[in-house]
Amino acid sequence: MERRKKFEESFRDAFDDAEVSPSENVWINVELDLEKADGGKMKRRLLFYKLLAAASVAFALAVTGIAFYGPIGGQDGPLAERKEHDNTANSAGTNADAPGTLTPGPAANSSTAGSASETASLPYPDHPASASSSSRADTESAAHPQVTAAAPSPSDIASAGTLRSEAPTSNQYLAQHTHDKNTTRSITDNSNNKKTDGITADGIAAGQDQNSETAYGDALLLKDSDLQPVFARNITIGKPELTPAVAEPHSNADPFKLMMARLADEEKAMQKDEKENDRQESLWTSVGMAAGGFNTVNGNVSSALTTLSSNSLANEQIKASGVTYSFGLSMGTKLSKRWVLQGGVNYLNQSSDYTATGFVGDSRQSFFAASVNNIEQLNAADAKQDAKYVPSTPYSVNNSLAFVSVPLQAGYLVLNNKFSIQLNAGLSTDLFLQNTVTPQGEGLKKETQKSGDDSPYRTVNFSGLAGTEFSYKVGQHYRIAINPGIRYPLNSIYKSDIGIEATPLTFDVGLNFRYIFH
Amino acid sequence: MQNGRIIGFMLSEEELIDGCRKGDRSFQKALYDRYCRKMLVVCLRYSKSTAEAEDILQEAFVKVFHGIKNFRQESKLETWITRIMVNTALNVQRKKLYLYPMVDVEEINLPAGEVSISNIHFEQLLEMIQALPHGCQIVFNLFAIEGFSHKEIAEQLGISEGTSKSQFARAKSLLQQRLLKESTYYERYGEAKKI
Repeated sequence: MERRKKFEESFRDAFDDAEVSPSENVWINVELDLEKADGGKMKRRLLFYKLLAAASVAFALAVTGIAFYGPIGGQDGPLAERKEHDNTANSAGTNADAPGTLTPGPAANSSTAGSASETASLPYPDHPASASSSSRADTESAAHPQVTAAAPSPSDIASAGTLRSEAPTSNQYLAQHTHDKNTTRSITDNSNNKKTDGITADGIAAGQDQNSETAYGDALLLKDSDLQPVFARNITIGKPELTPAVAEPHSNADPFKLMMARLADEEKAMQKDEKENDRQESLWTSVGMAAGGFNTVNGNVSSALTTLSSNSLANEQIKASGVTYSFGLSMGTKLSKRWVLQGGVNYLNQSSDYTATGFVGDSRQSFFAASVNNIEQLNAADAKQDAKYVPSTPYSVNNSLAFVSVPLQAGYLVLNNKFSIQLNAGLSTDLFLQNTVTPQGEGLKKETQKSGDDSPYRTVNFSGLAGTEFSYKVGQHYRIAINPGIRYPLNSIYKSDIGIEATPLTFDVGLNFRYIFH
Repeated sequence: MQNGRIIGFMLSEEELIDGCRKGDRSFQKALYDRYCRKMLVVCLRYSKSTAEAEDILQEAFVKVFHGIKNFRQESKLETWITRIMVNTALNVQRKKLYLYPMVDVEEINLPAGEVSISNIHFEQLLEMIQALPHGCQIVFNLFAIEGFSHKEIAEQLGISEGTSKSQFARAKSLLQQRLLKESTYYERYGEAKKI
């Protein structure tokens, strides 16, 4: 016995201080493995945040784009034109040679010559720079009828006439009018009477007949309050409103009143259209995707599995948290002013990593990562005799579940405007497709198991859904939505007879693009 | 502090562990440099070639760096790393054991006379161990060098205690036969024979 002990000890002693240098490649490979693992962890951790950030950025860009281009695009030329007018007016204020210059305000007093000198006598000491560079100034100037009607309109029209080629006839014609002696005289008269509003009216109404003094007189009879909307509408509607007035030279009707009436009608019609559009979102379809994470807080492995040394493995697997993503199509309809009903079809994937401390091998020299699938099969009455569970050192395994999800949700519109907020709640029928077990260790095979009798997972599952939807209407037929939500299975995703219960709670954030039919 | 080797010599075990726990690559390199040579010997004992041993060493060190956060310092760092090396090696070899399961072997008569290994270099002993049949090699390592009992070996490898004992007996017999030859050669020529 002692001799034996001595033999073993002598071997132990011989290797006590033994050292052999490994090749340099070993550390390089260790370092590469570490970086790969770090990268993988970071990737998983950041996946959710990346997707959330991407969705947020996309949403922010869309909203910003709409805010800048949407309203301008809707009214097209006029606003852009108006800006040009303003800029032209600015430059015209410092250019005495510019044709048709009739720049009001103090700036014009010192720089304009000829006919403009008459303008210099106009009493506008309190008037802000009429050639404002922003459209907001236009609405401000609407509060100063004597300013808006007298100064900016002719100068704008005149400037536009000299610069813009789109509508040269009317604008140039109007520009010429501002140079007409009668007109300039009228300006002086008007300024004396503090009724300068009439200039614009004259310039337009008398456009066809330069000698028509009565037209000026008619215009002078207009009240300030009548002219306020004219200017306001000149901003929003712009040139199109001027053209018909010029095109009806011999009409007996007051052109301003005609214009005002027409514009008022149009405005009402537009408001009516908008209201109708809001109401019209009664049927829509959407395509979307969602990403998030899930966690099984109340997983339970019953004593039925305690006979196996792999009980802890089942615990590891079912309680592992992971990431989830889904994508699919959905349809929705409005049930009432505030209530909506929506449903669809989604592909849902839930992926988690767990640590296994064994593997399963069979006589065909196939080795698989230990999983609930294998445990269940080994535990089954008709278990294959050649399959065997072998303990091992810990290694990582990825378990990925795939479902087809059919959600049906009711929604309540808390806010129903261009920007809407909707609260959703409902049920989802989740049909299990397959699960894939991918071991990280070498030599172990990836295993995919479809739904059916062999699978430990239920084929049909039901989940409760709850969430919020923030959406923004992009144009008449489109809406973009971000919807954070939770999903909670109403039953265990595992079959009841295998003694494992798991109901993973999922939180995800979705991004949807909605097409509104009508 | 940038050179891992310098850190390796200068730092205490605790400092090395703390640095590795933070994921500092230079501390990891220092730890690797400190233990890689000893650990390669462990891996060589469980493998048939240097390439195979280096693969085990690599895999095990990755596990060391991942698992060091959970190292409770109840044992020496070297002991803990050695255990990981052995477990990793067993994990690799276990697949082979599954294909070529260990069975009880016939009783082998041990060679008469005492065999001394004091004059034999460890590299020669290593080659002798590597030349053993697969099952014998693992059981011998676990029992004679790692100091596990046959019961523990049986549990770890999923074999019976009797199988473990008979495999060890066979390993010992084969080694002693080989050592006897070496001793005879040594007595005759004065130094260990080149294998």
